[in-house]
Amino acid sequence: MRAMPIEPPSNGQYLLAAYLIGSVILLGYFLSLWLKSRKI
Amino acid sequence: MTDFSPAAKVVKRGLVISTLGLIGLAGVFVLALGFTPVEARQGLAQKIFYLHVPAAWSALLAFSLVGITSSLYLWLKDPRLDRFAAASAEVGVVFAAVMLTTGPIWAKPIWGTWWTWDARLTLTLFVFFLFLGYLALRAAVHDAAERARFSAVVGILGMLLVPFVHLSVYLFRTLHPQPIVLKPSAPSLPTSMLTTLLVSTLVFTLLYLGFVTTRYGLTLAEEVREDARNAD
Repeated sequence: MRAMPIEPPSNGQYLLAAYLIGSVILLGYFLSLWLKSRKI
Repeated sequence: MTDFSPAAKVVKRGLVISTLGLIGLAGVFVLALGFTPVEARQGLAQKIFYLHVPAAWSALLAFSLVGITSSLYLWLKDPRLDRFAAASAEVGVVFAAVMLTTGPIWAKPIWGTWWTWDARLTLTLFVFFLFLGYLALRAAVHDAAERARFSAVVGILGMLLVPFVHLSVYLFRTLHPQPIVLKPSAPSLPTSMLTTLLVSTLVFTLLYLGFVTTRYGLTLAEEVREDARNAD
């Protein structure tokens, strides 16, 4: 009996959400530092 | 006239390093999406790992360095150590926020639930809250020497939790995956996945350096301003 190939589940929306949220947090923090730096 | 130039130089250096880190982050996304295979059982959601694991690494690095510099501060009483600890704690909280949001987004399709109160997740949340408390404490105490001393003690206690977070998957029954790189035997990953993970870890370390340098410079500038106000 031949093994059936495994079809990966389609869950790309979770990947997109995680990359988006991670980027927003890091970019948001960077922008907050940059805005504070303009007041020096 | 108040001289901000040393602080401004530190801030500028930090912003340049952070910008390089953010460009590197875009490169990590390209690597993860275009050059790593889709995992057979987890699908595309597995690629969250290239963001979640390096964010966890940076957060735990940040919190460990808070503890180390806090210990040194209690010994040497050098204000630079306290300033660094404060900067590292704030940046650590930011990376912990990335870790604690991307983790549940991975868990939902893989475990079927956003969150479970298992040892690794619960301990990580406690460490996150502890360092939020550290930042609240710093904001509440106005005397600089007292603030540095009190927060150094909290920083050291926070650092003591870091090894428990890393070892929790061995010490307790847990759903969280076991370490695949930082473990006694060789890393168990295909080369393309391991390379992307290592590149991402380097990028997150660069981001950590950039953010901490900028935050350190901003605190230095605030102190210069405060000293000038007191001298008037």
